[in-house]
Amino acid sequence: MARTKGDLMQGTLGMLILKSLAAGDLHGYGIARWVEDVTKRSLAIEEGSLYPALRRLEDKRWVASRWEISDTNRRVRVYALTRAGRAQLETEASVWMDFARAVTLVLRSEPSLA
Amino acid sequence: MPERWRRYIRFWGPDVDADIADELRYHVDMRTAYYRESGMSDAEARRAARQSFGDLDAVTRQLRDHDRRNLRWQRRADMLQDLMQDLRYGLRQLASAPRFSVAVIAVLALGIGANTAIFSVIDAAVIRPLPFAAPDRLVSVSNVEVPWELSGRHPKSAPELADFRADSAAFSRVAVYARGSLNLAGGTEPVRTQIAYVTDDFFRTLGRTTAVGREPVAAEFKRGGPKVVVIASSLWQQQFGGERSVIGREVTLNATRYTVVGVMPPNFRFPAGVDLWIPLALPFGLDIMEAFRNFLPSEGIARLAPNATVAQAAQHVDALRRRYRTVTKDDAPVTDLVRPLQTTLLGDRRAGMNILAASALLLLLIACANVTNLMLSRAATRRREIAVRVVLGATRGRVIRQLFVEGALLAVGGAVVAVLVAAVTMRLLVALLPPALAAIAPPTIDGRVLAFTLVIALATSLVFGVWPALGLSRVDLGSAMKLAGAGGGGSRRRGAAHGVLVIAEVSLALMLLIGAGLMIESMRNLLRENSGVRPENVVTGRLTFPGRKYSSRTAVPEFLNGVLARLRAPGVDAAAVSALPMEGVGGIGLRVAPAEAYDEAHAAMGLFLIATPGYFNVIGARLRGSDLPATADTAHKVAVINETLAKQLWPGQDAIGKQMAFGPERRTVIGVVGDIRTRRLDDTAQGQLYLPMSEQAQSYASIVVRGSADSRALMARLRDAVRVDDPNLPVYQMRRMDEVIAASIAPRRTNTILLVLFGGLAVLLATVGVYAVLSYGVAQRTREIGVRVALGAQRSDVVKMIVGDGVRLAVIGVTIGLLGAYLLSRFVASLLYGVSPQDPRIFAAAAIALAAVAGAAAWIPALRATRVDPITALREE
Repeated sequence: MARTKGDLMQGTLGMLILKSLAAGDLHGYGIARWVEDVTKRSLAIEEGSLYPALRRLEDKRWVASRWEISDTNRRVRVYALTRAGRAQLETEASVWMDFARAVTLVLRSEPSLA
Repeated sequence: MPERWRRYIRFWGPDVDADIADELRYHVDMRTAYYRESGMSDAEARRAARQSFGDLDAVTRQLRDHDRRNLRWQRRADMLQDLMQDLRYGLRQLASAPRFSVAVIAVLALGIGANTAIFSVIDAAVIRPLPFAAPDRLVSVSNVEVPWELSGRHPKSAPELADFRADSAAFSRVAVYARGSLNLAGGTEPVRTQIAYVTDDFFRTLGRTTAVGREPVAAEFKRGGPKVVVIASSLWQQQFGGERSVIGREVTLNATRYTVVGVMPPNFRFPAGVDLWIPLALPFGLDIMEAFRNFLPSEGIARLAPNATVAQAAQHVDALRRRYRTVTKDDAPVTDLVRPLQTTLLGDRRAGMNILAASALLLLLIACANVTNLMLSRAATRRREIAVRVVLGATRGRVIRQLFVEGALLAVGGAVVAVLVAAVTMRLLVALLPPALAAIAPPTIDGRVLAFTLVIALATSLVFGVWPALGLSRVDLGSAMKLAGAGGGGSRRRGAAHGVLVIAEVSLALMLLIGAGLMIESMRNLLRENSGVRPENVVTGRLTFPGRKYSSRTAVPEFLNGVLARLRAPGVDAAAVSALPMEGVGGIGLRVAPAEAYDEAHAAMGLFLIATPGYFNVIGARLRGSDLPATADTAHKVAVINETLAKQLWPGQDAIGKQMAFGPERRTVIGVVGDIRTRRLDDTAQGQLYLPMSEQAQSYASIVVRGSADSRALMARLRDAVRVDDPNLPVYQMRRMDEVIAASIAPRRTNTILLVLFGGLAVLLATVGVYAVLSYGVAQRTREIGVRVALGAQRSDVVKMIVGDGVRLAVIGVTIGLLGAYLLSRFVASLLYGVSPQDPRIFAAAAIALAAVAGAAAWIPALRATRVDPITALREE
């Protein structure tokens, strides 16, 4: 079965979350919306899977969370990127870019039958 | 560090379920609102939001598992962190008050060390199982007769081994062993070895087998079978270099050749001190008697049958006993013929151990009281510090925990020192155990003793930590924070606490002091009046004559006469006796009766001994009538008896000149000698009869030499006198007579020493307690004293006030102590000798001594109080 865009997404969900927090602190729904907006909905992300992924990142101390009170007076859990998380994002991003560049090069090259 | 502060964000810690629900609901609500804005109806929007979220329940479960795990882990880490913080802080606190810390640790080390030491002995004696299989099923059995070849001609006097073995309801295995000693040749060098003849089933009864080689097989337990031995591990190491080739090797035991077939494991030494086990063939013949001086002191051991109890087995044995011999109708049942093996090995030492354990516990309580006092005094200086911590947000529980951690640190410090103390004193403590048990299971500081010490140390820290902790945690912030409030509101209550503790210390110390006094008085009674001999200037040595060289009837008496004649000189006298008094040997009991009334009703038990003329004089006993004759007169046989036997046989009459009878034999009593203690100094008097050595020589003798010369010179003289006639005959067990007597009461001596030590320490601690409390009181009342002096109080008034405080505490403590000692006195009765456990002289002396010491301790702070300068005292305000 062919890989869908969504499957590809799973492995890199962590990196996307880190990236979403790079610009500023967000709650879970905010992260989901950010991914939607940035990718123009081209990545189908199952919103529920966001939260276990956030817990994993928190366990690794790449993300920290705190509780805030929203404008509508509701308790909201807000996530922030830690210093370690920012470093991790840079590493993962550059690895990803290198990989993507390499794969792009391969795919664009002329097929050689020799 | 966000982790560190996170727990303060929500007071009771995070509510995992609520948090997850809040977070996910927020997400779904936001998404619903988003869809609604895009034109969906409420219901549609909500459905769509749910759908785009995915499986809400699964995610909730997943998060809940994760968060709960995290929370548990977090709490554990927080607790550890707090504890480490408390420990660090506690150590810093203790290091900042080194004198206080050292004092507390020293006091605790005394209290805990005493308990550790005594526990190690009790552990060895009672708690630790004997090194046998299922040792709680092993019992010792009395009255087992081992059948011997010639016994068919005599009426049997006790059940035989076979009868016991037949009783399968009571016993699953029964074995008999008999201890003796033989000369071993065939190892590195000739040595005298302790041997045990054992019946088949001996090793199986105990459930242990050889470490190297094998046990003797059935054929080797038959008469005329191959002669084999099993050797102890220690003998194997010393005499055979620990080589496996020892199996099959031939050794010689008193001229008989044996083959070594096995070596027992290192921790198997039963009966105590045995080097060799020799199979005992039944019925046995005369040939084995050489090891036993013509008398087989057999002891029975058995393994209880499944479901049988000790009491049932004892009933069975008593029933067997009553089927035999001349049990008279009014002969009462005997209930202790079967006893747990451990009880038998422990003998009469249990009472002493219990008393020591109780005393050690009292000492620990006194130490606790003392440490509590120190802690309370120190707490007073820490009120500000605690108050600051409370103001900065420490909870009451946290403060209490901090104080307990400090207490535990001190207690553990005390425990470490205590274990060192116990390890050093272990050598002294071994004497508390009977040798039979000490050889099998010597006291050691093992894991159990260490665990005991730790538990008792932590328990101690709870006891002495709780009072100050409660006091401090109730610190009144306002007064504590004020500089002048250092001695403020709580001091009266704290003063009362100090007083109660001092009273407790004094009363407990008095109980121990009275116990020590009773023990000392018992010891003095024993040493003063009781032995029946004058041990000064007497040395002794023992000879055993090999059967071959001294086989003729006259050989031993002639040899001994020669030796004694050579020993005698101006100022030196010598004599020989078959068994030295108070060396642990009882001798053989004979049933004797007056010749004119030879029946069961007039008979009495007499231990029979053999002596040369002059023995009573040399040993220092009082003799009325004539001494034993130097040459035998077979026509006119004579005996000397002791006062106890004389009283039993002829009450109210003079025994001298009377005829006594045992069996067909008649003897004239020619002298009556004062009672000489038989086995030990603290034995009760037993009947004894002495026969002349000239007619009854045996294959062994103890020589006693009295002379004013130095004891070493006398011993050298004794050795030389023997060597002249027989250079190969060793003189062994050479000791001064007072050493013999001292050794016979070694356990009592150790008990006494320890109780005196405990009593002394208790008094010391109590004294320090009185001193510390009064000093503290004077320091607290400086201002009050200053006011009194300013208002015209004299020095003597001040002294009277302070000393009066001390005396009041001491008097209350002494009163309670006297009462306690009176109530407890019956428990020590079994340890005492010739003194009532409620002896008023000792009670009074101890009370006065303790009160005097406490009064003296009160003087120092009292004198310090007189030096209070009213001006400075008042200006301090």
